[in-house]
Amino acid sequence: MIDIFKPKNSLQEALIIIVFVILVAFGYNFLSPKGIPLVNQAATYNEVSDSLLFNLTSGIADSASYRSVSLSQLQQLIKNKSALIIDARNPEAFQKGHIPTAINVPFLHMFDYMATLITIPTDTLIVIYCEGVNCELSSNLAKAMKDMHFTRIFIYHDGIKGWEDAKCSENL
Amino acid sequence: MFRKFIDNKLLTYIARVVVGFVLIIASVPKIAEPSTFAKSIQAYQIVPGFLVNLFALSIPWLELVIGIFLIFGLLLRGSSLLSAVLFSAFSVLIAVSLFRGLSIDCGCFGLDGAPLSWSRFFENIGLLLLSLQIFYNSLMLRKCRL
Repeated sequence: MIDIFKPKNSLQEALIIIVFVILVAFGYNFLSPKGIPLVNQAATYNEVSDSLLFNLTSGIADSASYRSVSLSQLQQLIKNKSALIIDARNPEAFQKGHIPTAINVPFLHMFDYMATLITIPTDTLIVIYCEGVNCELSSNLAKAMKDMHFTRIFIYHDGIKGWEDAKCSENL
Repeated sequence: MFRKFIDNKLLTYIARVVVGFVLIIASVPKIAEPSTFAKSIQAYQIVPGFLVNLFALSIPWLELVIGIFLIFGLLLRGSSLLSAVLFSAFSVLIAVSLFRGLSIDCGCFGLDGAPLSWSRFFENIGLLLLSLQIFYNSLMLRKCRL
């Protein structure tokens, strides 16, 4: 009966550890206030309306989540040159390709780019992007810039991947 | 010479402590903030969406339990085997992501904000080799006892 607790080989030992880990991990997650659902739910973004985005002249009171701009809104902002587009990825990724007019402020090295950031007026309309929907660099940079008193920050959540996919479908 | 290096009991003991501590230190912030770790996994764009949270919940606990078991010498064959599997998977994941040109946070030690880099890859390879050394010696130890 107790044979299961006397593993005969490495695989049996590994299996015992895995079963133990699953029980502890799920039990802890169930009891923890920071527990997460077992199956990931799709992220929903709070998109900004055209009227608010294009008529906005002063800062907006925002919650912890940053409002998202759509592809068409971003294209309009680039065409009108009415927003500063910031790429939050690292310089190597930026050099391989970026959204037109974008400047590079890599979140992971943002303190090296302070000289650039402090020259930007805090009421500038800013759109930040990174790799794509699963990337956190844009949200992290937005939070850091909000702490620097920038008031008009938006995120293009689809990132460079969304931009390039859209460019491909336009060319088809 | 190489054989002596592989069979060295002192090296095995040091390897158990080093790998064990690295795993424990890496696991704690991930256990404390599972949602942040889930986002780090998502950023690699490899794990299917419905599995992300399951990975985010189980990997840190696996690291913690393996780390403790390695240090205290519990189920050494299984824990060193799982440690080698983990570090192999991490090494492949990092290399693939670097080749894909992903600009993401490593997520290796929770919220440390360190970017993905080749140095992380080689750290994982080093820890993989140490895990294999522990695994080999735990098998030899078992054979000697029989």
